[in-house]
Amino acid sequence: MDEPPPRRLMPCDTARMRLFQLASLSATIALHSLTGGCIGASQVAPALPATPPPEPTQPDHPPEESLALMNADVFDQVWVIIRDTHPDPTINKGDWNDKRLQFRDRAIAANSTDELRNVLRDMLDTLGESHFAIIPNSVSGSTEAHGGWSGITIHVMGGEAIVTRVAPKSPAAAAGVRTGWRALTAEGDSLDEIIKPFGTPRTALERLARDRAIEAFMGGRPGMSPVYVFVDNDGREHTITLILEDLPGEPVTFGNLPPFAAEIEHSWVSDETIRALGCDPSATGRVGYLRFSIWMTALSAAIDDALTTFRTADAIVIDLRGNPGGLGLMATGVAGHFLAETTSLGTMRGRDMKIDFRTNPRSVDRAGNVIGVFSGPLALLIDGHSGSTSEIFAAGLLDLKRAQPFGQTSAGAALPATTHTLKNGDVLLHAIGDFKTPSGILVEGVGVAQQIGTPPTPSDYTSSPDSELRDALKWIAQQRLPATAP
Amino acid sequence: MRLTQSPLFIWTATLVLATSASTAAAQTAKPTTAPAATPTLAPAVAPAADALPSASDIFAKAVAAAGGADLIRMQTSRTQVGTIEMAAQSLKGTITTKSVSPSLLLIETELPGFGKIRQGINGTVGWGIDPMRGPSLMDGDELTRVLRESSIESELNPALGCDSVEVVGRSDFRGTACYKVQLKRGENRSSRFYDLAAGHLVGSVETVKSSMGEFEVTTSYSKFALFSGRTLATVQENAMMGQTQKLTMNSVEFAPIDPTDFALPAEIQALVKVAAAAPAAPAAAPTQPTTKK
Repeated sequence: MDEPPPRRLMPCDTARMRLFQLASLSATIALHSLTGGCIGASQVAPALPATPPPEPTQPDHPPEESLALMNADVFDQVWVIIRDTHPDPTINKGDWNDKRLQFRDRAIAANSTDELRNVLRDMLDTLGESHFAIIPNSVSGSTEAHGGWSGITIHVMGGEAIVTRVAPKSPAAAAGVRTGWRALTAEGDSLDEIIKPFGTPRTALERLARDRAIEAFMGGRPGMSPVYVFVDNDGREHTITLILEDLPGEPVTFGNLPPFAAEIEHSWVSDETIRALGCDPSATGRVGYLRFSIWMTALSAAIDDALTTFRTADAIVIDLRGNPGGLGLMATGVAGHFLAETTSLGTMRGRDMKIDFRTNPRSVDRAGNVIGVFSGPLALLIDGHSGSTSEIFAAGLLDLKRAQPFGQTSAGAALPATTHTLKNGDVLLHAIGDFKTPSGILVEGVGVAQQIGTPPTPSDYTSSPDSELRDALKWIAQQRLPATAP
Repeated sequence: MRLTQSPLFIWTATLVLATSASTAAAQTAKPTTAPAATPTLAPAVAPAADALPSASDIFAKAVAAAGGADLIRMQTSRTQVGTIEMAAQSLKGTITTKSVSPSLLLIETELPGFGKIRQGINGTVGWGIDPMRGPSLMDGDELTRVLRESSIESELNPALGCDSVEVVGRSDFRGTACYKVQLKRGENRSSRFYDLAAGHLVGSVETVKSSMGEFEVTTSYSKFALFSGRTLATVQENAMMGQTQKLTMNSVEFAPIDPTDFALPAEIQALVKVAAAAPAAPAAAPTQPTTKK
């Protein structure tokens, strides 16, 4: 007998940490890191109402002694790792010893691994930074990318959940979902229940946390068929059932990180597309478009080959929307396609190290042909979900005046980080450095912002199928004016 | 087993890994130039119950423990196969090093989910190809440093090229009673720990500098074993930034190696041409579109 299908992953009455725990499971966010960053479960806490001060807790019944010992071991392991590797030896001028006193008893008393994780996350939340998270072993040890995929990207704008992107060939695209629509409910539950507790986020990171919570709320497993209600630009409601698919791309695993789906798309932007976005193909010239889902070396060869092909382009657009990061030094390799000289994208500083993110000029292709670097206009499409390595790449090239970003301010989650397998099999993600651009700008908590014009508004998403690409093409046309003017 | 901390062998990936992986492969290489003048060494001390030996005595004992200078100089080709592991990150891969004296070196490291990293020296060109950064050449200073650190003579006398060497005392290194020797080369300082009883180099602490930055690396050498008369550490652990990387050598052979194994890959050959050209190759000229999205 078939089991009844789960209603959806996130019932609306779920406690916040459970919600964020689920958010952390999402493959789309779980791999923010490795010097790019995993937007972990813990970082969302500052956006929420203050956590009540911890109270001495007594479980209904004492946990098994072995469980208590394991809890203590794991807690101590996490506490020591942060103590010894946090980029700031003062742990943000807080008293880390106090945190041990504050949380250790609760950790030891946890009656389950889930409870322990939540205590650990509460402690990590006190840091108020990205790239600190507990990844359950069931996720880190999995070989499949988790999370169903509808193809919808949501950003909260003006307190409303706005569809900012509908991926081509996705379930949402097939069902007719359009950018600019407002998402009202998922499985009958209002998205307001998720949005309101966040209030007005103060930072890009808090905005990201809120958007990730929305994604988790609307998400599910592949094969599930949640029902959503959207409102279009004319105020008409659309009730749409989407059958969630596997995340697009090839599943890739790397160490103890959760599995992720690596996807790449590259093409020449067609004249038809350029015109549809209100631009003139003769003004923009030949534009190469490259999008990849994550900074992982599984995609390196394809990225290099695409950028080799685009050496003959008049301009290149790299779409980093939704790209959460990945291997940090990949940014130096990809940036090398656009910089003829070895140049610093910025500096990572940790306790006992300083790493300069120096670009590697890519003047030859994989076949050994000398191709030079690309010197034409470079536009970067970003959004609030562009994190970590995407931000290192964008912030560095912007600082060097080699690229222009277009779109919503990025996640502001750019702490170089690493992972550590804990004694219970869970994985601790923890930052080990900060990152500053060549001019000294700290990206963490701030993000990368569009410099030319203004970021898209909800009406932009209604009026254009791709407002970020539209703005990028307009900029590219302007950049080419001197060359095309009589 | 002298394991160089050269920047060539440091891939600081996202995991901020430091791969001092030239491992013993490099140590068989003979110097390409005449050995540098011997630096000022701490004066030998008069024999006494708790007097410190001289640095040269400590180095000589280490060479003897490894099998002797004659044997080290005789074994000109070496192939090592082993594993590289970052347990905290659940990463484990393979590492193969090949070397032929005087200065041929190839290191191939492969990690699941990451890909293959290749690093080499063909006598004059030092190079690397990794999936994150692509192909690159070592610059002059870096190459000079790697060649020096890879040389047999450096293994026989670590004081080569140093401004000063000093035996600073006895010290415990991870449970082993050691002589601690401090070496200074320009602004670089490092400490080496030699097993007081057996003579082996069992550890070092060094601030590694490269074009990508600098960081302190603590390295330990352990589980010494005999290979064709040579006593080599089979385990090297590099600790930095709270992380540990473990290299385990599973096999060592001293059979001749096909020189073509050290041929420059096509990308590196192209980079050498670019580097030799002046000015550098210009960017490709834009052309009209032929393909559509």
